[in-house]
Amino acid sequence: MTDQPPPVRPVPPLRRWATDPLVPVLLLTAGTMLAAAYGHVLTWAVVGGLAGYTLSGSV
Amino acid sequence: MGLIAGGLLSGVVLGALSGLSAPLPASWRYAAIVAVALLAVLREAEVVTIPLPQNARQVPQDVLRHSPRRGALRFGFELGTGVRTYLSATAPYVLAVAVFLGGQHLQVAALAGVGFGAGRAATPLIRRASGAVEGWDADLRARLRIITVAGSAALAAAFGLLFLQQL
Repeated sequence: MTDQPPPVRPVPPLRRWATDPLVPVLLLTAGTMLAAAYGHVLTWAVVGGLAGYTLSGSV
Repeated sequence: MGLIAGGLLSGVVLGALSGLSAPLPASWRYAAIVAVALLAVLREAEVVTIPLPQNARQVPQDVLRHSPRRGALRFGFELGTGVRTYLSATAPYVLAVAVFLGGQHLQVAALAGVGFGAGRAATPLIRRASGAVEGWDADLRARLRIITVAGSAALAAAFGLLFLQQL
């Protein structure tokens, strides 16, 4: 008897789309532009989030 | 939590040091922030090569060995500070320059630091939420250039907008 690897369940397309690595960038960029256009203090938090997310490629 | 605490510490430290830039006129400081952000876009697009200082190390794996809970907190904290490990993107440098030169209240610098930590935390969260980490890693590798260029461009645009409001 051979050990078969467990079958990989396919990820639903909507979940795959919603968790694409580009999604946070798009959301944070939109949030940054909106907050900066109004000069809102939260611009700094969103900009910080965007800067943090760009480091996704490193640990 | 560790990531956010690390980001908060870095934000507060930079915010406390930002008083050193106060003697410079606000318009100069904001122009410098926008210029640095534009340079970051060029660097990410590999139009210019600018070596930047970084702590060329990873958090050692053995921090997780003794106590997984405390180890995870320390692991996140070190990553969250942004000064204890490799930095593979330019946007964090732009953020640091902006907090230093921005002349904001300490709370605003803290807010930027918390945002930075939360942004770093988003990566493992969304990776796990994807349900297929290997596929997600491959997608990230394919999109990393877009993420870093778009991130720097968004920072340049945001600081440009804030600069215009200061005039």
